[in-house]
Amino acid sequence: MVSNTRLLKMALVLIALVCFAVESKAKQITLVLAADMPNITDPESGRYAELKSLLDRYREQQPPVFFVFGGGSIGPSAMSSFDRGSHIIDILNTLEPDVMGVTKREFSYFEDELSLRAYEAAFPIVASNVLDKRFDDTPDGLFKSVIIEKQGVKLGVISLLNERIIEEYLLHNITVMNPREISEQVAEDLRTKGADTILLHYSFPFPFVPELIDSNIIDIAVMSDTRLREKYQTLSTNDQTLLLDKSGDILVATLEVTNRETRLNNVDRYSLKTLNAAPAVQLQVNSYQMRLDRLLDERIGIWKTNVFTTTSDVRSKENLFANFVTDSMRTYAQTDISLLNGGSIRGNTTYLNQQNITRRDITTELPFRSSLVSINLTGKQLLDGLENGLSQVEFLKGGFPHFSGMTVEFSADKPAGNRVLQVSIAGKPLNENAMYSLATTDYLASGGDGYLSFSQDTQLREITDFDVLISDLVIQQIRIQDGVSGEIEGRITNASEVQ
Amino acid sequence: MERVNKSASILYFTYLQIAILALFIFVTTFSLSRLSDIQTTLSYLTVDVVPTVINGAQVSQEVEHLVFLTVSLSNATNQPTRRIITKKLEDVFKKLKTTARYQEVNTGFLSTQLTVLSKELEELESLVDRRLKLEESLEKNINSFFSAANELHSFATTADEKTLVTEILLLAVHIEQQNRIHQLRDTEHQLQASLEKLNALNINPEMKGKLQSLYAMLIGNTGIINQKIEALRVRGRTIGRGNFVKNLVNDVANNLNLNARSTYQQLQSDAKTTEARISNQTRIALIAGAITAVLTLCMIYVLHRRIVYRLIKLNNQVDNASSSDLEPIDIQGSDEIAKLADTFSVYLKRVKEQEIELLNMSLTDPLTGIPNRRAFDQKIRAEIASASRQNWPMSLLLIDIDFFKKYNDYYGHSEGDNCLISVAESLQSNVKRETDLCARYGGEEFVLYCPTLTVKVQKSKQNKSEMLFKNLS
Repeated sequence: MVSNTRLLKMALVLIALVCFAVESKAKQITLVLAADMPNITDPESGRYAELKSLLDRYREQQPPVFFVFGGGSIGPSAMSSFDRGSHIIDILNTLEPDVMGVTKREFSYFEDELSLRAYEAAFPIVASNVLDKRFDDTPDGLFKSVIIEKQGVKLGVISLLNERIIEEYLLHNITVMNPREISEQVAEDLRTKGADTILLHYSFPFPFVPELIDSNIIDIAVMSDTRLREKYQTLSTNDQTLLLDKSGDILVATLEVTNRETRLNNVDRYSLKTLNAAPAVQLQVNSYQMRLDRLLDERIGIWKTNVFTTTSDVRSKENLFANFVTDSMRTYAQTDISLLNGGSIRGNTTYLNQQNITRRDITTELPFRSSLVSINLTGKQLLDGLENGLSQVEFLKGGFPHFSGMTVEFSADKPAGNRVLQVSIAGKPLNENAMYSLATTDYLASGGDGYLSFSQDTQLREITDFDVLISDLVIQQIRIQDGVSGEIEGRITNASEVQ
Repeated sequence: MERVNKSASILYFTYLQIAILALFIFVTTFSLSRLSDIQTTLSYLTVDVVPTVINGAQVSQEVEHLVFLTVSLSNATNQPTRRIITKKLEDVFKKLKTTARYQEVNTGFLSTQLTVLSKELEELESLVDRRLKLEESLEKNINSFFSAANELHSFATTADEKTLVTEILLLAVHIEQQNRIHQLRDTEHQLQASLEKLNALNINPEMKGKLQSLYAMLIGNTGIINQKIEALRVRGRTIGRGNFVKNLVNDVANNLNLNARSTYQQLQSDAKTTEARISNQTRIALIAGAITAVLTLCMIYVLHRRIVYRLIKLNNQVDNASSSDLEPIDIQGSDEIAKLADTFSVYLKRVKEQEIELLNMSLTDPLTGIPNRRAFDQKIRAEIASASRQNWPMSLLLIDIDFFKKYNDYYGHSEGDNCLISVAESLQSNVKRETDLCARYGGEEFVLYCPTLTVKVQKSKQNKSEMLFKNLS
């Protein structure tokens, strides 16, 4: 009898609970997603004013709008080479994102600059699996995760990075923690803090993401990378994964959030160039452009031949502009050879014969503030470096080597690490035991982009820092020579292509 | 042929002199041009490089100062600070402009940078001004809001009203603490909801009025929320702009360094080339000088031997020849000096011949051609001396032509002369021995001297002579 009553009471409680659960309303939210807009002058991807008008439109409507900016915009760009991305933060401040995630590009000017940007930002910047070694904590100004609350809906945001950024961007002060572990940890933490829905932002195709969604650890995943299709053949996705994979596109998703469950109702894709520009933001963008013009429109010389700096041009074969840069480096440093990685050249443009060269062109081509250094290294170290640079030529990786004072023959058909067929320096074949003086960037000399052999044996090495930026050096040379000329000399030949 | 040889010395001498002169001019020109090279390098050093480098150091100092001031400006917390720093910035910037004059080496880029920098500093300064004003105004508005809100609270009558007003007040307090836009927007939303709830209650018109003004103070374009958001943005922008200017200033400094270092590198390479050139040509000049010295010495030696030595030799030979005619005058060669020697030789010969002639003439009777009184006197003195020393006999015949005067008067002077001549001839023919002498002693007197002859012999001689005379007449 007593047990029956107890059972009944429990049943009633259960029913009540269920009713309560059923009674809680499903809330609608709108997610506006944008990312990878580093260059305000780019007609495809730089349209912040258009983004603002879209935001205004949606913000006028009823469901609360969560504007999540996927990062990838602090650099590199001509303006950013001056202000390290401050202008992007300033423009974003006007757009009022609720949160910004990070991609590797946020680290274009290293960790401390990113922290400075975080202090300028009136919105939180999230980097979930990054730890600053110096304080054993998330980098200064950044957040491990964030909860945005609007009209009773709490959105938790996680942003992940791939550990390759350390090597690619030569970040000495941070470590990247295991993304899966961190995601699970942070998601749990967010749920404890009452997050209704959790959004995961990432820029590298982690294969575990769909699983996280499927197991309800997170609710929505946003992958931002405009070079997605170029780079990766396999990308695991599911229904709740949103892809920002096209330059100049933004996504607007409507979500239905119920207790611990989020459903993606609808996704609209907009191309920014089809939208109207919000005047105030356009004014802001224009004033930055004007400031930039002030600095950069100065003519410094003339292109004396057609020059191409597209990604495939600088990451797979000999390039005229790269030759000019490496020649300038070698002349200034007065070394045996000089070497530059193709990934330093970012312009992705074609310049025509007799076209003017402006300072802007050079800062667009060389926006990273790498400075010139010279080191002494053995032929073996050099050879290892070359093998590294050529190891991923078919994937158009940024490590592709350009050089002066040397000729190299390689074969892309051979396995990576064994591709160099012949190297000659000043007419003589490379001697693995001999010492050579090499002018390169501080980035490569410290082992960046996989050139680990360059940073070996630091006691034996003398590294001379010339305290001059590569871009400034190139500008100076162009001034002196009144332009850029040259021809393909056969400095590097791919034996497999010759046939 | 002779003519050519005659002028050979002159030509020789002239050519040698010209050669020496040419070498001298060559070496001097060389040295002068090298000196002017050094002068150019030194003047480049003193006029271009050293000022540039020193200037560069000065500019770096000023740029550092500029950086510090820029950072201070963007962090200024009140207007007086901003004004002070702005003034300092202006001063430093002015100084920078003048000291950076030297760095114009790289064609006007620096002046573009400085112009841009000046503009940026201006804009930063006005941005800081705006931030400060915004923050000031915000503070004021928040204060007036709170007094208005408190007032409203006093107007609230029901518990619900009081609760809502308190809610509103609490939310408003949050505003001051929140530094993220999304937080402020959320607060804004909540405030809006609360205000509307309050408005929905039946409150008296006075309170309604107060509520409306409160609403305006909080929400709306000029409301506190938007002001705070604006302030946050401007703060962010100011910091960003400050960093930008700081980086710009650093870029200017780096470019100046690049300039200075390029100039220095250029100088180093110029100096190296010049040094190499100079030392190369110093070597050449030294060699040329040595060659010149050697050549000059050779020329002097040659001159000495060809001209001076031979002249001295000639002089000596002439000297010797004039005192004795043992040594001939003989100078080898085919030039003027040799000719001079020949001429001397010829003259001396002539002189000698004339001397002999003269001597002979002074010892010969012009009419008869036999030795005269002088010759006899000269000889007899010596003979007497030697005869008395040797103790040998000597004979002397004095012959006088009788009646010569009458003969002369009768037959005339020319016949008289002929008579004398015949007598002389006849007597002379008797002089068989070389030691004997027949001389005309006076007008018609003759003397015959025979050394080592006795009287006997002499008598025979006398007879002979008588015979002779007989023959004559």
